Amino acid sequence: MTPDPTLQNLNARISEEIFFAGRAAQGSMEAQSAYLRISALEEQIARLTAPDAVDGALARVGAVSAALRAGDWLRAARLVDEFMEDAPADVAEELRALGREADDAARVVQEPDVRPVRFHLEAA
Amino acid sequence: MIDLGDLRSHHPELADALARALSHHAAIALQRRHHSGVELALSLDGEEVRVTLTWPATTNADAAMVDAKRATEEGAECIALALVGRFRRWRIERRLQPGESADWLLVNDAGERIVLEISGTDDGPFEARLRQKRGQAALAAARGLPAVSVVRFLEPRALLEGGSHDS
Repeated sequence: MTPDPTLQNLNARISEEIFFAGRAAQGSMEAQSAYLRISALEEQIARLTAPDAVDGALARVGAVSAALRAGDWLRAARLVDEFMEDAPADVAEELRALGREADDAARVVQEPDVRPVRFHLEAA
Repeated sequence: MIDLGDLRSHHPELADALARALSHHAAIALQRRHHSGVELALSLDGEEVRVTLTWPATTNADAAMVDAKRATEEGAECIALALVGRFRRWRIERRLQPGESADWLLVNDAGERIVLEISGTDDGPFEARLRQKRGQAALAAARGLPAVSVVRFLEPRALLEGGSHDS
């Protein structure tokens, strides 16, 4: 099997990005921007591969999970909607689970956790 | 003999920076107790093999600048990838993201995918680590034939199993 050179190049780049993202502190700006780049590379791989192929499934799930790690739930939700259209059952199940994570993240943003605080004012 | 300083001779598809980082950490982890030219005791699907490992020497200053746990983990990845290249002729397709239950996706000569989970320890328990990693790799079976490699730097010792229909 001769690998597609474009795909091979994308695989080499994503391997490098994932490896070095693992060195960044979790949740840091460095990690978030690395995972955005990973999500973009996974999306490119997804467009070159079939959804029922191993590399296609990995790329579709990976594009969404990387977007969530980057904190970009809007992108994650958009990718879930797009990839669900032609996903086989097993991939659809993984995408649905990630979609729920994106929904939860969106809910936190839309419904910030604000609670009343009681205090007394006393005369000096 | 395997030259860990030349990981790309086994895996030309690896980016140079990534191959160099893995090789450097393997050298640091091995050089805690050993010198280049040490014999690795390798179990290949139950068959005992001895293989000589060489690497470009590192300095104490190099080791001091690297997190010890990271050197152990990445050093183990370097050795495991060199072993699968040399003894199995598996080609690297890509690294997997965290949460995928395995570290690397590889391809054998027949074009079949293999998911490889790698673990490294400096002097920790080997068998317990192996059992844990077998369970983890099995979870990735939907992506390919599961394979496991565990490396311990103490002796040094390594095991590679799985990645075929017989295993």
